[in-house]
Amino acid sequence: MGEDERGRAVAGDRRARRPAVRPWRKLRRKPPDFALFLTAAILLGIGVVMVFSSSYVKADRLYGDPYYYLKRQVAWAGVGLVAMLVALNLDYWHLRRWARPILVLGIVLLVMVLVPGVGRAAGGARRWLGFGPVSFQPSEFMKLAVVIWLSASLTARGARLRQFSQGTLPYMVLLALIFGLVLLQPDLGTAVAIGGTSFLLLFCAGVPVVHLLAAGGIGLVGVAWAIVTEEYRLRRFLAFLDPFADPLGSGFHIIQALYAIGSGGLFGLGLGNSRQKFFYLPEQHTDFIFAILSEELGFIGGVTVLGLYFFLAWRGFRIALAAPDTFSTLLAAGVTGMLILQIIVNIGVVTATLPITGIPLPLLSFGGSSLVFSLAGIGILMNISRYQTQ
Amino acid sequence: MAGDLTVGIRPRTGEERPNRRLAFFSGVLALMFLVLVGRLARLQIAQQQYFQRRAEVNSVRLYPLLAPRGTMYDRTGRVLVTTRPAWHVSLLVLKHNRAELEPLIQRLAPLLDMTPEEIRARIDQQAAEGRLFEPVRLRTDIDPRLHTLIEERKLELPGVFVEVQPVRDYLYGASAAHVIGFLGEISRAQLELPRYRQGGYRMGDVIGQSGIEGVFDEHLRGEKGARRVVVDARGRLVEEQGQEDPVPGHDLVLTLDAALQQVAEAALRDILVKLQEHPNPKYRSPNARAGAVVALDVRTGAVLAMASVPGFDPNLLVSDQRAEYYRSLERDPLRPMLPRAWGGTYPVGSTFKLVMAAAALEEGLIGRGQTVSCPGFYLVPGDRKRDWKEDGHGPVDVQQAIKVSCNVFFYEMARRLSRDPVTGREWRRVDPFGDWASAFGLGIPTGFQLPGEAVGIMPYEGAKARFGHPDPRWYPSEIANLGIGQGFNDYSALQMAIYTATIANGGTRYRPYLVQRIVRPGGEVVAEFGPEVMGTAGVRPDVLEEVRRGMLRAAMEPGGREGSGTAAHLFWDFPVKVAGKTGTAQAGRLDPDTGKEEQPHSWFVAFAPFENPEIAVAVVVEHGVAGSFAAAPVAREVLVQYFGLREPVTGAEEQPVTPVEVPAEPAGD
Repeated sequence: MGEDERGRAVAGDRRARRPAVRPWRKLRRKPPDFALFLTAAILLGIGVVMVFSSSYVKADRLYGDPYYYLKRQVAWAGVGLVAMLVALNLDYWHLRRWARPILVLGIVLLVMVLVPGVGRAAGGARRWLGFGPVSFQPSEFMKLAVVIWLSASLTARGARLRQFSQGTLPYMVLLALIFGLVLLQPDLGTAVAIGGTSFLLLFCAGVPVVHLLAAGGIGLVGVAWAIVTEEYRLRRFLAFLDPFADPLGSGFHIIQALYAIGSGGLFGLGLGNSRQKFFYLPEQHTDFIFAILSEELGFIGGVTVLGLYFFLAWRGFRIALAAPDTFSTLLAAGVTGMLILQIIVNIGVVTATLPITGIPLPLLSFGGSSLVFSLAGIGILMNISRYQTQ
Repeated sequence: MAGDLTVGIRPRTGEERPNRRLAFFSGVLALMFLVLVGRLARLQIAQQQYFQRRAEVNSVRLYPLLAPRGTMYDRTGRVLVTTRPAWHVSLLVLKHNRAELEPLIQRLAPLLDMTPEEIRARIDQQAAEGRLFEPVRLRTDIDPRLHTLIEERKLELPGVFVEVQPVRDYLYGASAAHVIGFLGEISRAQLELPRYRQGGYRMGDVIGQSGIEGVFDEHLRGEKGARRVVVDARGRLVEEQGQEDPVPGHDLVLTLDAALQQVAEAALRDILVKLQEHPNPKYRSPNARAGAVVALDVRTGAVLAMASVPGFDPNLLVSDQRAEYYRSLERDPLRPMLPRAWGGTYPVGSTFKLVMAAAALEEGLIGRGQTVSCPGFYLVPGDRKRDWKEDGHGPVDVQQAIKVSCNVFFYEMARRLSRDPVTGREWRRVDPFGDWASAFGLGIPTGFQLPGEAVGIMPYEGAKARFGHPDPRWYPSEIANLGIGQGFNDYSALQMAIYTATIANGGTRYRPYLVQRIVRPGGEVVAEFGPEVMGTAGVRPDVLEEVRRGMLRAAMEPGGREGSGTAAHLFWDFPVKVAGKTGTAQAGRLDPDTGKEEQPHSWFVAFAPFENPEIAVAVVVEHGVAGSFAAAPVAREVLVQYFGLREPVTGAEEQPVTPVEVPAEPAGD
């Protein structure tokens, strides 16, 4: 971290005894991107409503309390908003220094998930760490951790990235490790999101395209291998190619999602009127919430949500492009890219455009960890937006 | 603003600044968004109708609501068969829980007291019929305890539910079971039949499989309704969307009298027990295990009682034990499913003598009051035949011959009837015997509406060849036997009842019928049935009067020079004038256990009252030793019930069941 000399310019500051890594002190702090906040808040609101609408039947059946998921989602939204405020107001440049510990913490948490007795399993996957009644999904933390670390590390490496051995290779090795840990859970969706975002950041940071293509080729082979070797993934993948070939087995999920979306039509069946949520569509309040949303709110509702996400992405990339330094740019691009990739993959899966991978829809899906870290990421984005140069 | 600063922070990555590449990347993402919007448009706008319909089918199920079958009443308005609501356990096998099915079956089996194999078999069967979208019935008519148990465990038993559906209730149990019939699931073979194919029957329908249930199924079944329900993917009810009520079936008013029917069956069963356990080995008949009673209204042909013993309980054929019960019935060597009353034929023995008497009088082979001398034996070319009474009855006329059932008289009538009118040679013709038998409805179809009728065997020229005798020629001895109803005179109890009724009513042969009225549940009459003439005997009234008088004396004249009436010991003091005829017919079989000839079958036919006949009764008891011994007492019970004499029976109740005469000879009494 070699910008120390710039910090001395603000020696008279109250916090001058800290290492002077704060060039932004020279910049006039602007109000954060309010449109971004508003968009996120609207999506969060839609999410809370949709989580309730899609889950009350299941909640009532399972827990005798239709508000079971709603209560939790609202509580997590509160936690998320706090995380967002924290992320908005902390000096995000600190993340540069903390990038490596954060990544190490993420890896440790991922390993802990795999330890029997520590990690919690559900639905055939070990993805959670439990703390009393609260459970936490380290892979959600990992998504943000990887973005922070890559932004910091890529900025630090600078021109060395152009060399394969100094640039692409070490990243590939580390990413392969993270990839492997996530796949052990197994959680292909998160692996895809992390992999995609990493590529985005490497690409933006200036890693030669040839290297990326080579590494991407290897990565694709890896993904293909992961699909072919795990029977359920293969079945899911084949089901994507032709869901109606096995309508009661592997195609069931997709078909039920298509029924939901398709029967929604232009205006939808109306909020709360979904039929597919009556146990036809599994994961109706988590990964497949968009299907229920499309069923109840129709094409209009679906496109509105897509539009909001698109606006979110546009604001995010705008912030990245206008960010004051490389780290800020990469961090903003990474956070935005991570969110958008998840959105595209999720909606792609739900509309049978992509093969089935379990991935939550940021801000909409039920799930505390995803919500908190998505909101924290948006907090970071807003933080960066305060220092726009354009 | 502060341009120098920003530039200063950035240059590390050289000319490959993130901006250009990032802009490119956002362009790619924007394109992906467009793809998704396009995809949504395709699914939700272009293909909306398709998916909407599919989703609809996905969640809306039609649960069939069975229609209550029509009620059957007896002639006095007593309910014989009805339908009551009952709880059933059903399983809706769901698309996606095939993997969960096995553990579910394991959990369910002990609860329902079934084996997992049985449950699997039910499911497989229904799957084979392509009806897995309908609930699979696992248990019928469960008790409240099991109902509670299932409701309590509902969450562990996805797809399992308790439903109310009507179940058939045969209030009189096994009584008249053959007549009423039973229900069963339609078979593949039945579905192929035009009747069911065109009648809107479907796989899985429960239909009448025999008796009135079978013949009148179209009337009884009503129309199924349906419950339109929205279910979740696990088959659990989410919402009722209303229902189409089933239309109950038509009610039937039968001609049967339930009380008379029960009396007939009880009397038959009682006599069988007595025969099996009789202290005197001469009268003991361990193989006396079956019999039949038919009682007709002689004025219309309406069936008043129609008993076949042994029988079965149709209630068990609609219960959970139906499969085992059905198998046990099929395995039973006594064939309890056989409707003996109209589906079993027996050699009729001396009851045939009434045909001979009418034929002889009508053809002028003998005149009223003319006698034939009975020395106790009769000579035919190549044979010396004996009367059942060894010292003979002396000279007897037609009436007396019927009264004492004189064999010699009827051997003589057989000789006269067999005479060839052209050549004048005797012991030639057999056909007149059959012609006269069929004139009274014997050996020909009765026109009875229930399936399974046996027409029996009547004598005619080609009969021996037809029934596979090595020598197709008729010998005088055989023709003489025809005169007393032995050989080639096998008829059913129903035919014998019609025959008796025809004699009683002056020669009109009616079609026997069981259903007098079909009524819609509201009370509107759909159809009515009354007497239908099938034919006439073609005999002068005075001839039949002579026959009837002989029957009256057989039943009611205890003494006399020629002997006592064969059934007089039972009816001599009967308050209503009864006319009857006994019959004892060689079974023609050796008992496989003892090697001795089996006890003969016992017949009795009667009508009453004599002056103005109302009822005709025919009774047959397999291996019943003698007509007067087994069959006649049963007929007496029926008549006692019919005439309401149950209370003031005139001492005959304690009548020792011992025949006045018992045949030493195989030939009639």
